[in-house]
Amino acid sequence: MSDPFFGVGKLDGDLDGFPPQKTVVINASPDVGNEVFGYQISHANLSNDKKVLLFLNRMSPAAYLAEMKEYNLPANDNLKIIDAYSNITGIKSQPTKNIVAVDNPYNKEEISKKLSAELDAGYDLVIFDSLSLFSDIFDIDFMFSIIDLVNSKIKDSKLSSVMLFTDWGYGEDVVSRLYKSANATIEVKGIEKRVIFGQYFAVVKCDWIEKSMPRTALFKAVKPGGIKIYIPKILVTGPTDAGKSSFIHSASKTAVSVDKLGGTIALDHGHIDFDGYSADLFGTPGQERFDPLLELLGGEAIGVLLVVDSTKPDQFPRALEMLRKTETFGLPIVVVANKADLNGALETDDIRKRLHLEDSVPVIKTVAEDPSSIDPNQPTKLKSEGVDSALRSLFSQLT
Amino acid sequence: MTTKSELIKQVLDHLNNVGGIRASAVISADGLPMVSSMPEDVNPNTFAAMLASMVGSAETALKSIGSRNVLERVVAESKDVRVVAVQAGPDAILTIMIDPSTNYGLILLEAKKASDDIEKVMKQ
Repeated sequence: MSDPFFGVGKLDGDLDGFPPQKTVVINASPDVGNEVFGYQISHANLSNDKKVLLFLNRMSPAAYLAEMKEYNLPANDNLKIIDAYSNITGIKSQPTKNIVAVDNPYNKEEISKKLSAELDAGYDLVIFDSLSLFSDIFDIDFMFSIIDLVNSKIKDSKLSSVMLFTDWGYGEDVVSRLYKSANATIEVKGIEKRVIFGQYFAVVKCDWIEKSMPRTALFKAVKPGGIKIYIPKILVTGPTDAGKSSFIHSASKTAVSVDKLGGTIALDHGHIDFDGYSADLFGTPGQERFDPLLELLGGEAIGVLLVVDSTKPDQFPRALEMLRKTETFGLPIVVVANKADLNGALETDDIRKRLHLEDSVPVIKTVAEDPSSIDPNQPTKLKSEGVDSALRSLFSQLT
Repeated sequence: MTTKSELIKQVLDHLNNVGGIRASAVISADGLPMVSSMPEDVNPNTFAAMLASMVGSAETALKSIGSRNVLERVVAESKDVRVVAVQAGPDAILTIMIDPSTNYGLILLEAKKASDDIEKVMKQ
C-alpha cells in the first residue's frame, strides 16, 4: 500500500509524497487559514482507503463534515473523529462508531488519555485541527506535550501526522520550537503587495527530501475543489526591440505572440511552470502607437519584468514611461538587461543608476543562446541561465 | 452561501444549453480567466489573454474614430467557428464560441441577457 499523501499536487510533487512516521506542521497566518489543507489531506487519504484519525477542537464534527462537503472533499467511513469541541459549547457530543467524545474538553488528562488510546488503534494518518487551540485553551507546554506524545507514537507504527497551527502571535521562540519538533513545516500566508492578491504556501522545512527550501506556490482555496495553485499575472514590458518576446518565448514553451513583421502588435502570452510556481507572463508591445493598450495589459499584474537593451541607454526614459503607462510603478520588479554580451553593453549598476531605480532592484543579464542564428523576425532564444534567474528573483520578491 | 463564480457558472451553463452555443467563458477585462465552461483542449489562460486584448484593441479603435458609445461586442469568424465577446460590466467580458450555421440573432439576444446577469453578479 502506498504512503499517505497531501492530495495537493504541488506538495506531493515537491516533497515526493508524505512518508509514514513523519510529522508535518502547517502554520497559517490568521488572515489566510489552513483548514482547507486539512480537508484536502484527509479527503485524499480517505478516498485512498487510508484510516484517518481527526482530533477536532475547532468546530463540531457535523460542521466539519459539512465544510468538507462544500469543498467537494467529502469524508467517508474511514474517518474517526475525536470530538473535543462539542462539550465546550454545551451541545452534548454524540459518540458514534466514528466519533469519540471528550467529556470534558478542559481536562488535559482525559484528552491525552483518549488521544493516546486512539493513536494505538492502527491509523495511517492523524490530523489535528487545530494545534494552536491547545495553547489557547491550556498552555504552550501542553501543546508541546501533545506533539511529543504523537511523535513518540509514530516512531513504532506506520502513522504520520498533520498538525494545523494558526499563528496568532505566539512569538518566534514558540514557532521555532514547533518547527524543530516537526519533520516538515509548511507556511500558509497571504501576499500583501498593494492589496491581498492571493495566498501562498511555502515548504520551509522538510527532512526527507534533498531539494532546496523554501518551495513556494500561490494558491486559492476553491469551493468546490479545494487547494488550487493560483496563477498570477506578470507583466513583461520595455522599449521596442529590447527582447520582451524573446524573453517570454525562452521562458515558456507554449508562448503565443500576436506579431507582424517581427514586432509584437498586441501582446505576448506565455504560461510557465517553474520552481514551484505556475505563472502567466503578459508581454506588451514596445512601440508607442500601441500605448493605449498598456493600461489594459498592466491591470492586475503582481510583478514586472522590465526588459531593456543593455546597449541602448537612450531608450531607458521610454522604459520608465512604459512602467508609468502600465500603472505598475511600485510593484515588485526585476530589470532584465538583455543583449549583455554585445559591444557597448552597460554594466548592471550603471543600468540601475540610469533607470533611477533603487539599489535593491535586481538587474539580471541575459544573452542570446546562439548570436549567429538571430532572425529579426522571430523571437530569439535566450540562455536559460539568465531567464531562470530573472524569474527566480522576481518570484522571491513576490513571496 | 453561493459564491460569485458559482452564480456565473450557472449563467454559463444555461447559455451552453442554447442551440448552437458550443462553449462560453467569462474573463476579466485584464485578460485573466474567471469562470469558464470550455472544452478541455482549450488553454483558458491564452484564450482569455487574447480575447481581452481583442476587446481592448477594438475599444481603442472605435474611440479613435469618434464612437461615443461603449463597445457592444467583438466578433471573430472563421468557417468552422465564430467567437463573440460581449462586455459584461466594466470588469468582465463574456465570450461564447458558436456554430456559424445557427441562428445568430437569437444567440446574441441570449448573450446580452447573460451578460446583464453576469454584470449583476459582479456588482454584488
